[in-house]
Amino acid sequence: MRAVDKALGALGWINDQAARIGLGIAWVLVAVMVATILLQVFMRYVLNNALPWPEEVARALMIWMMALVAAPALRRGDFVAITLLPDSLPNVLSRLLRLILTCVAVAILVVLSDISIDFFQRGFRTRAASFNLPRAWVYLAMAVCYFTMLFVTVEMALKHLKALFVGEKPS
Amino acid sequence: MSLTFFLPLFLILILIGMPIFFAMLAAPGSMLMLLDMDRDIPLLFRNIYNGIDSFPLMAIPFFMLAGELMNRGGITLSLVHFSQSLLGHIRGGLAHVNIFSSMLFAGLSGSAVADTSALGSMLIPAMEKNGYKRKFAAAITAASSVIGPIIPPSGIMIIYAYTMEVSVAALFAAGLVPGLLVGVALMAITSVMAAKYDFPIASKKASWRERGQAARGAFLPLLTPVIILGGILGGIFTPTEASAIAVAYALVLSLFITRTLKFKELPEIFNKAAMASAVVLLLVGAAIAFKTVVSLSHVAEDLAQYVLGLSDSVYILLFLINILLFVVGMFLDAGPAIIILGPILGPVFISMGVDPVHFAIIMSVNLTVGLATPPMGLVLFVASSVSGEKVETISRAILPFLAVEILVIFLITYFPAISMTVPRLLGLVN
Repeated sequence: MRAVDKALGALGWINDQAARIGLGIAWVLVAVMVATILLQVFMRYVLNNALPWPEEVARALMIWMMALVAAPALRRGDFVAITLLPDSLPNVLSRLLRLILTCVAVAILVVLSDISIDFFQRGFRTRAASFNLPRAWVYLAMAVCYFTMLFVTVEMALKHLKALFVGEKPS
Repeated sequence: MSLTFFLPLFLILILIGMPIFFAMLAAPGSMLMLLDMDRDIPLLFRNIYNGIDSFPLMAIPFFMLAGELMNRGGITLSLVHFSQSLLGHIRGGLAHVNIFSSMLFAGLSGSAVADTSALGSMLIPAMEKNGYKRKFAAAITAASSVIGPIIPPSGIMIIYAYTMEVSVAALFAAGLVPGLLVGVALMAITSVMAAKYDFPIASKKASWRERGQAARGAFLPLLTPVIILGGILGGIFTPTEASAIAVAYALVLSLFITRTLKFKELPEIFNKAAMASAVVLLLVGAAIAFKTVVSLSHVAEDLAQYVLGLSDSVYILLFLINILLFVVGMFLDAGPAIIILGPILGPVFISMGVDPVHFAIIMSVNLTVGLATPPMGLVLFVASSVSGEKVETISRAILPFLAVEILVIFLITYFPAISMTVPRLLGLVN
C-alpha cells in the first residue's frame, strides 16, 4: 500500500501542475478566440475585407483550450455519468465497480494516447490552409488532452484501489 | 456476433455508471476489436477530432461565457426588478416574477443550470421572506429554468443542429414560441394555485413611471437577445459570430456600465466556461465517432424497422417516442441524450414525413423538461444546492409544474404550427 501512496502523491503533483498550467493558458486562449472572431466580423462588415485566417485560427485555439482543461474537468468529476447504480450499491461493491469502470477508462485513454502520437507525427505532412504551420501543432493538442486525461484516470484508479482495500471513502 | 451488439453494450456501460464520453468510445471500440476490424479504430480517433474541429460548435463556449458574464455583471438583478414592476402586484406576484424573469433570462443564456443558479439564489430567499414555502420557491425556479434552452440562444439546439445537420437559425426561430408557451402555461397554473392557496402579493402596483425606470434598467441587457437573434435570423452573423458579439457586449456591460465585475475576476469566469465546454466538445466529438459506427453497422436501419413495426400511425409513434424521451430525460442530461438518440431516432421520423426542425424541437423541449424531472434532473440538484432544500422535497413540489410542461410537450408534438410558423415566416424552412 505504501507504493500506492507514493504513486498517488507523485500523480497528484503531476495532475496539479498540469491543471495549473492548463488553466493558466486556457482563459487567454478563450479571450484570443473571442478577439479573433470579432476582428473577422469587423473586417468583413466595416472594412469589407474578409481575412482568410480567423476561422481556422479560432478553431485551433478552441481545440487547444479544450485539451488544456479536459483533464482538470475530468478530475473534478465534470464528465457526465449516470451514477444511480454505483451510488446505491453496498460500499465494497460500489468501490469495486468504480475501480473497474475507471480501469476501462484507463484502457481507452491508453489507446487514444497511443494513436495521438502517430496523429501528431502525420501532422507534419500537411499544412494549415490559411496559416503557415504544419497541422501537427494543432494535432499535438489531442496528445496533450489524452495524456493528461490518462494521468488523471490512473490517479483515480489508484484512489479507488486504495479505497477498496483501506476502506476509505473515495473522493 | 455482429457490430449491432455495440448498442446494447453501450446501454449497459452507461447504466452501470461509465461516463458517457468513455462509453461512447468503449462500446464501438471493443466491438471493432472483437470483430478484427482494428484498422477502423484510428478512424474512430480521427472522427473525434473532426467532430470537435468545428466553427459552429464554437458558439457553445461563447454563449456559456456570455451567460456567466451577464450573471456576474448584476444583470439578473435588473431583469428581476423589471419583472417585479410589471407583475409584483398580482396574487402570487413573486412566483410570476420568477417565471417571467426566466423567460427574459432565456433570451440571454442558453442553459437551464445558469438560469436556476442565477435566479434561484436571488428569488428563492426573496420568495421565502414574502411567505412562500421554500420548497415551492425552489420548485418553480427549477420548473421555469427549462425555458432557458428552449428560447434562443440554446446550447442544446446548437448541439442538435451540429450532430443532425440542421440549420441553427431555423432551430432558434422554431424554439421561440414553444419557449413562450411553456412560460405562459406555468404562469397559468401559478394563477390557479395562487387563487386556491392564497399566495401573497409582493408589492403594491408600480406606477408607469416606476415601470419606465425599471425598463430603462433592463434595456441594455434585453438588447442582447435582439442583437443575437436579429443578427442570426437576419442572416447578418453566423451563430458563432453572434455569440462572440454577445461576449463582447456582456463584457462592456458588466465591466464599464454596471461595473459589478472586476478585471481580475475574468480568468476564473473564462476558465469556468472553458471547462464546461471542454466536456461538451469531447462528448460531441465522441458522438460523431459513435455515429460513424452506427452507420457502419446498419443499426439505425434495424431500429427504424422495429419502430415502424410498432404502429402505422405517425401520431402513435410520436406519442411513444415522447414517453421514451421523457424516461431517458429522467436519467440523462439533455445534451448527451440528444447526442446519443438524435442520430438514431431523427432519421426514422424524418422518413415518416415529420419536418426535421419540428422533430428537433420535440426532442429538445422534451429532454429539456427532463432536466427538471426526478430522480436525476440536473436543475433539481442545482435548485437544491441554491435553496438548501432536499432534492426529494423539491421533486414533490415540482409535480404540478411538470404536468403542465408535459401537456405543452404534447401540444408542440401534435400542432407543428407552434414551432414551424416563425421559421416558415422567416423563410428558414420550406
